[in-house]
Amino acid sequence: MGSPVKKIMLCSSEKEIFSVEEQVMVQHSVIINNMIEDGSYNHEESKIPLDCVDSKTLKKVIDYCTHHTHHHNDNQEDLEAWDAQFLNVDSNGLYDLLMAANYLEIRNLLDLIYGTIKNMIKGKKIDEIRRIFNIKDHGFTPEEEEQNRKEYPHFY
Amino acid sequence: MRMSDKWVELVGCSSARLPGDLVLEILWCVPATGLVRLKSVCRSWRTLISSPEFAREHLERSTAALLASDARIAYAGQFSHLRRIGFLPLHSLFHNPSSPAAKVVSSYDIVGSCHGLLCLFDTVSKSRVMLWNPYRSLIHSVTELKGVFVSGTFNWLVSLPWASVIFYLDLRRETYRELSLPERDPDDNITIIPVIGVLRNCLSLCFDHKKTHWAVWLRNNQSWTQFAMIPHHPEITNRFGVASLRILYVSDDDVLVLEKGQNPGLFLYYLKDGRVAFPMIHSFSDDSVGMPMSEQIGPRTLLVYYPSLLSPIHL
Repeated sequence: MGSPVKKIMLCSSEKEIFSVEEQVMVQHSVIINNMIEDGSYNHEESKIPLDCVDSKTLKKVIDYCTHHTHHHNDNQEDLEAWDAQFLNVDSNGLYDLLMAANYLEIRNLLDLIYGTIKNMIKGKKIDEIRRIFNIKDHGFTPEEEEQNRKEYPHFY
Repeated sequence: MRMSDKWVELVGCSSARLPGDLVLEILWCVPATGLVRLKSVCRSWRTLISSPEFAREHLERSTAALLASDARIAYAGQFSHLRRIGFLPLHSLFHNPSSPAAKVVSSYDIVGSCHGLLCLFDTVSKSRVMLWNPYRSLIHSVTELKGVFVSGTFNWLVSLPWASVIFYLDLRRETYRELSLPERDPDDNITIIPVIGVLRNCLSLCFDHKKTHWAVWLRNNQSWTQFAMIPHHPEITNRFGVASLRILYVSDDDVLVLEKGQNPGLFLYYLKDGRVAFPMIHSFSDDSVGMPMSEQIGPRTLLVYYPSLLSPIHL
């Protein structure tokens, strides 16, 4: 029998506790790696509070890190297919993931999400881009907006 | 406050869903071609994307492999009787060899490119060089390539839409400076681009004066002095219209040899009595057109030079 797998506790904004293999989070999250390295995490009693990450999102983040830890030897195509399936969420879900990945500093997940958003807005009409980013007030005067539409009709 | 903090603050309120630093990160990922569209999304994005500092930073980041997929092929040439410049995404060559290219009809050739700007050469005038960013406003600057050499300095005239300036390289001091042009009258036709030349070993300049004359200036002892005024003589304007004039030479008895801008047209102007003359230059003996060279139309280059014994390898 090998030594038991070391676990750490993550606590979502709803105070739900997730127990995750330490190695999985250390490999992916700069923040958690730092906490373990500098000894600020106590395995007996610490929980890492993630007040800005809800349970649903935290579960997704843990899924991502777990898969990429255990399947990092898979071929590139399989990993990309898994990533595509993983990010097949609505834009709200995507932004929650983005903010969680940013908070935990998970570089490869961040790059994946930025790439996905970049593709999401590529070639889209201006109004769709405003919807995607939830831009309520574009700040142009009606005359400027009219001028934009005249100048770049294919953007609208 | 660091520049990046300013940018975060600028786009901070744009999205009701994402904080400014993440919006900024997303914008860094978008290639330059896509950012042009995003300028119309909201005012703060437009301000950000239009700023030169953002453009520089974006360029630095986009040289990373992430955006290599934005590389484009630009080509220029004669296609079915029209000179065109075309663009296509480089990666389309790998995926779809028959991908169509966006085309721009123009008389320019591409000399090179740097930082997303194309350096174009005017194949009609054979003298104008300009920098062009195809994804932003059109032409960024127009330069007369034909510099003139006078008393140890090499001078170029750069005409921008709002002003013209002469740049000169002092070969003895190895300094590079700017020289402003004589003050223009508000009635001048500034669409007629000033032309520089050398007259009597001085830098000379010729431009429109109040839409009635061409003014000729000489640069003497660090200042401009007016050398001559050539009226819009009907004999000149009937032949050539009102266009830029290049002064090639002035004789000791004050006869000017002038050339009209881009198309050929050589004539003499007698300063003493205001006469105009159109000398005839015979054609090359093997020219099948048979017309005198001075009558033929088409782009050509004309300059005055002084024979010497120098060999190019002695320079």
